[in-house]
Amino acid sequence: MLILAAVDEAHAKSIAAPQDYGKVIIANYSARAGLAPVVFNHWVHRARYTCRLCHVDIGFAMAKNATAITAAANKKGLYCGACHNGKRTYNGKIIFASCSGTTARKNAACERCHSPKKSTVQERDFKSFAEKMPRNTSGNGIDWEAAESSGRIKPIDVLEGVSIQKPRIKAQKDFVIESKGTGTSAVVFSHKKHAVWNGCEVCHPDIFPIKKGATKYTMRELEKGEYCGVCHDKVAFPIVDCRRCHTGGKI
Amino acid sequence: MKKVIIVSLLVLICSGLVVAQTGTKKKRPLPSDYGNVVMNNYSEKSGMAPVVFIHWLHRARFTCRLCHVDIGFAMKAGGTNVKAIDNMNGYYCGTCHNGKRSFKGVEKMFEACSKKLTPEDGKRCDRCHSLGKNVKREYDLAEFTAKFPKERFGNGINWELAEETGVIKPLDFLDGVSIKRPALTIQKDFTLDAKVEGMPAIVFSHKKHTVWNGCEVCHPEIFIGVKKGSTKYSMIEIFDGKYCGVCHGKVAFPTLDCQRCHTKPVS
Amino acid sequence: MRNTEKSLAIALAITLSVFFGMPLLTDGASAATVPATAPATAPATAPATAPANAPANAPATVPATVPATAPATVPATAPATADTQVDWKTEFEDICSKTQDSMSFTTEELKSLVDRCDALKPRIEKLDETERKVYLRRLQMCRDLLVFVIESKPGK
Repeated sequence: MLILAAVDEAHAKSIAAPQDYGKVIIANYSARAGLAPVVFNHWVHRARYTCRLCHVDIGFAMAKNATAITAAANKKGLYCGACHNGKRTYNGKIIFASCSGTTARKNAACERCHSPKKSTVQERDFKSFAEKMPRNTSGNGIDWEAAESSGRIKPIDVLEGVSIQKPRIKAQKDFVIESKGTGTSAVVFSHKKHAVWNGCEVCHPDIFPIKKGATKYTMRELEKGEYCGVCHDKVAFPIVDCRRCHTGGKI
Repeated sequence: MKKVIIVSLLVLICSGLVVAQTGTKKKRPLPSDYGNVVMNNYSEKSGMAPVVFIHWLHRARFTCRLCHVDIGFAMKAGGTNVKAIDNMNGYYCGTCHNGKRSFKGVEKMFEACSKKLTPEDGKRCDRCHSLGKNVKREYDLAEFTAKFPKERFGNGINWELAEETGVIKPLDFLDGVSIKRPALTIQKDFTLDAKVEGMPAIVFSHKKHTVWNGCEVCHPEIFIGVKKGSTKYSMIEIFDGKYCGVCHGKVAFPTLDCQRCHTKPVS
Repeated sequence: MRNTEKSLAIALAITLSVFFGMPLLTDGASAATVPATAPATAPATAPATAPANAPANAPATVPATVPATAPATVPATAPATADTQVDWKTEFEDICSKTQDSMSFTTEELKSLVDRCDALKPRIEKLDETERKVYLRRLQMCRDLLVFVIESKPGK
């Protein structure tokens, strides 16, 4: 792994614009259907729902193109269709239906998701949204954690007809992860801050095995989108923002 | 020097491979795909698509014990080594899929693997040999289980409750295959304490498991420790498909659903 | 020179790691299929001892359904005639219908059942391929459970 990583010399990753950070291009079957690939914007959704709701209850994968969503699945009420069904509401407003059955290529409704290049039809203006939110460096430029803890956003964690609620398991205590001899300050990992968005199942056991210290990983794995990097590479605040985690703080 | 490079590379890469099992989020199969087993011991070699065995449809009608003990299926993909001739002789799949056996609601199970095939039989072969083919399934999970109690993950069905409340009545006896026997004496439930602080303890119910499994599915192959606590295992082994994970990894409700087992509050 | 040596080393390492790494990547379910060829020596000795042991071990308190004498005809080289075919199946059903209540048997009763399993095994091995495959496995599961119960008895 390490040798292969060394051979594939690190290029400086291009930094996405704030409104584009967290954008996922989904292109499993769109071309076959004569449509542009889907442009999924994370910021619109994470302002309203927790990560857990989509990635655990609804069942979306956490890698591009890995879910393999079909229009048929959406129509059945799975995946995007769990909310985008023309019936479910958010804040009193009906959520538009996805894949509503017509095959017209130039249908404007399709283009809300299947956005052709440089021509997006987005209702929400990122700028006007971001102006109201607490700011931070990198990623979307928004401090999502502060936005949630201050109550400016109230992400929904339960979807009627989809979520099945279980008694809460107490969040584990915060703990320190020492930096290994590189001179960077230690990381204080907060379960509480993560559990607000993720519950337990987003991370455990696939990404992080249960036994603390059982898995050895370094920043290299994170850069490749593993471990913390599953989220903190392309969706949550990126790991280039070192001081967000390496606070050197004590518990 | 060359030897040192090779040996150290091997060590690094092998350890890297072990670590590589974690770190990424596995894709969850769709509820209707959860529990599907691909069998390809001989299919591709015979020029057919590998078999996709659908667990949910069978477990709604039969107990685990019937197929895995009485009929003798292994509990690992490809482990049974089923051949077409075995099916034709009335074993394995052919025990039921012989064109003659009927059950409540199902008239004469379709025959698996015939000696002589006509062009019309292609559709029948495709019912099982379907990997990679767009085969229209006879039964739809959502329709079939519309009235079943729901749960999260896996098939999205609470199979345990479905059986308990009589929504399904899985068959545990097959004429000519199963041995007539007296009713099972049920072992008591017991508690397993979690080692991670704050995790609720597990109440293991023998009763809930023996309904589906009898004794032989688990003992002694999966759980060999004769005294409680003699086999040491942790969640790491379970997530890896061992012990509880043999079933609760890919077929029964997945171990992703922590609170299904970790139910007893920490006192 | 150094470059080719390095790339050769990498290529070799990758190939070897794939070769060695594969077992690490396959999932290891504990419910391994019991190999059909279990201890090869047991069948050779069991037929000789089974008829001798069974009557001696059959205690007075054995439930009425367990015959006091094991089937007398257990010669190792008996041809699979129609009569023997029926017998082996009846014997199999007789032994293995008791696994449910195995927890309530005494160690002697369980041992005699295990001996009967061992006696039955060579007869099943003479069946045709599919029957042999299926019934060897079923017999093995049944025998293993009986042994498991013997071992779990307290004071053993």
